[in-house]
Amino acid sequence: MGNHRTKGQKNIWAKLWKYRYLYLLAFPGMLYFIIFRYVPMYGVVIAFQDFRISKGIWGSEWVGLEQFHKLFTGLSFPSVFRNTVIISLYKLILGFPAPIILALLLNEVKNQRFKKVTQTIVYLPHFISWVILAGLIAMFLHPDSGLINELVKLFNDGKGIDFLVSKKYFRSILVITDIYKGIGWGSIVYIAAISAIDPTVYEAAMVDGANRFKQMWYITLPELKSTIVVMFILNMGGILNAGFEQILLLYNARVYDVADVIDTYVYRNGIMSSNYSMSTAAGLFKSVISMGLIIITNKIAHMLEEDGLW
Amino acid sequence: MEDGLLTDLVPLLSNIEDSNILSYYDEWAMFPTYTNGSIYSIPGDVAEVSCMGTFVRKDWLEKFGMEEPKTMDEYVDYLLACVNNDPDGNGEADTYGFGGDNGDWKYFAPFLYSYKADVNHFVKADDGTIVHGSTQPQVKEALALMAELYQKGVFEPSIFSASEGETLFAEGKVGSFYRYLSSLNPSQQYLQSFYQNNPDGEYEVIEPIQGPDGFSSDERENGTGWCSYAITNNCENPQRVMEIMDEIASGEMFIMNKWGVEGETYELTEDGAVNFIVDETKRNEMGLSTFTGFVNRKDAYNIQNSKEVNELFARAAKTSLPLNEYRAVLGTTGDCWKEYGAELDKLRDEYFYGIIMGERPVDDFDEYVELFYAHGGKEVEEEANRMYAEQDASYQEFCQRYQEWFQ
Repeated sequence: MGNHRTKGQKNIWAKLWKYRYLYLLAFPGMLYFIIFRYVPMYGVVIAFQDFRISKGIWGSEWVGLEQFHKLFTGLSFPSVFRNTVIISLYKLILGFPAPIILALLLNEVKNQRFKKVTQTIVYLPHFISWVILAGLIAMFLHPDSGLINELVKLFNDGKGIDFLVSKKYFRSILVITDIYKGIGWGSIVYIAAISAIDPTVYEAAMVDGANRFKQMWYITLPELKSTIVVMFILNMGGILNAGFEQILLLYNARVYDVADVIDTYVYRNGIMSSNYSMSTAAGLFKSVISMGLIIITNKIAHMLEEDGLW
Repeated sequence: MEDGLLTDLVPLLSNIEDSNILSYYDEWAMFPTYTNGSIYSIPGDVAEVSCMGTFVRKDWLEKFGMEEPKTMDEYVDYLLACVNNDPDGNGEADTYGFGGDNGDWKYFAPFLYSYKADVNHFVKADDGTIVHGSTQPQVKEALALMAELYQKGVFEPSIFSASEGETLFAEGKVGSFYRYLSSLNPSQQYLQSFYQNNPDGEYEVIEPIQGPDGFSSDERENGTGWCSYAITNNCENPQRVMEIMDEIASGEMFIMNKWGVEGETYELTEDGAVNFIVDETKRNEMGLSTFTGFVNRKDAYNIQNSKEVNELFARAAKTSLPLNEYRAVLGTTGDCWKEYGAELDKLRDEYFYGIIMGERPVDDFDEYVELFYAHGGKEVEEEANRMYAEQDASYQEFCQRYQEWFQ
């Protein structure tokens, strides 16, 4: 037994030594995660306290699950939770396939110059911050002078629609602008995966008489499957992140009903009113749910005989 | 102060004869610095007690053959005329009655305050208790009126989302605003663009509109500073420092510090407002306008304002008094409000905007009041009453001591 352990330990050290340069390369990254992701985790204890800045983390009173109780029994928590899930699901259902479709379409473009230009243009919105984009969106959707409303007026007896205060349109605006911002960037990973597909497979298919569409359906998509699954699992983990910055910058009191999500709720009730414990409790709640979703989706992926995340 | 890091300023201040600081600030402005039975800091920048007013288009009033609106009925007539009578004469229905700025409730003052409806603050009820202004019955009447006006197209369409008050002001398509008085300073960029867009146009600020019960008031600031200055215990000669600070607070020194010397660095225009005659680089080299956060004067020495605007400020200080009487200003935020405030504000906004925009019937106001008290409103009001009583006692004590110290 003891012998076995020493042998095992020896193996580990031998392996570490053998791959020492690789580990050295990975070291700064690991350090980053330890310092900025693991060490601050002890701060979640304030979710179980009535935290006061003046008393500090170890001086504040312990209140058990009271913060969670407050969070879940909050006046608008049910609608906030519903909004979070609905907006996320919309974004997942409509936003997740979008970059895949874009990647497939770009892959079929024959003119290289056109392809490169298009790629660059669709990446650009990713680099514009939400603050600026929100300003642009507000201008485009302005009820009186916005470009979109100039078109709407043609079909609506000269009357514009104030989209940003409309409960009917607000979620659609969130989803559309989210896709607009993320589609190009999201497609990079798929384009990379497509370029890794062995061209001889396509050649063989062409010889067998498969047209472009069949090639896409029977070769490109199946080859992309594992990438899609991994991306999907990661996206599931973020399901309670409905897009804090985007919503905070676009919403207003008139659309709280359809747009207030956990993050904005916590921002107003927690951060703005310095209820740090409550914000932390909400953050912890979100993390636990995300973790659960990731594990479940990963399990399902394994059942479908896919690689999954681990 | 508790750790003894700051110097007690009372003896230092009382040693100064005719202190500029004490003559400029009143007891109420100094009160927030009252700690442990003494004064440890001096307020830095206190806003004018009232900075806003009801703007109307003088040229449009003349076109309609109307007098300055005084009562709510006259005001509503004017707003409707702005929408329906094509005041800019271009044959298109592109003018509106009332415009806002970023959706804050205070921009709706002409409709709310004339009904004595103050939805964003604690107020004194008739029986003397402190209640939240949004729950008072007159709010319902004000909301009903606003809902009616919304139906009639009085409000500029972007008023409920992200309206850009300055842009709207410059375009000149809106008949009335509730805005900052300094908008009328001739140096204001957007006022200049307004004159370019509308060569015959003219804005004027009228006295607050009288509501059905004869109440009227302009918006009132809380009259206390957002920052304050202290002297630490490391100071070797605190008395000298206090003297210098007091010297900085004088009107002449303030002008010198901010704008320099008349004829050399600035001149006064016809309107009586200041105009720099040296460029910005030179001003920075000279150190002009670099340190103005301490006793930033808002009286006649604030020559940035034209004479007209300074007169408007003086008038608003009086016309905002009724609100000052009604409102219960709390110097600090209570724990209950911290806990429930954000949700209660959300509830109010959802209901009130819903009512104005016709998504809810006006009677939903009663539902709002019920929900308000069921979800923390009761606790919040109890706390506010307690805090107000404490604050009041403390203020009385402070005023008494103030008299003794600086007699």
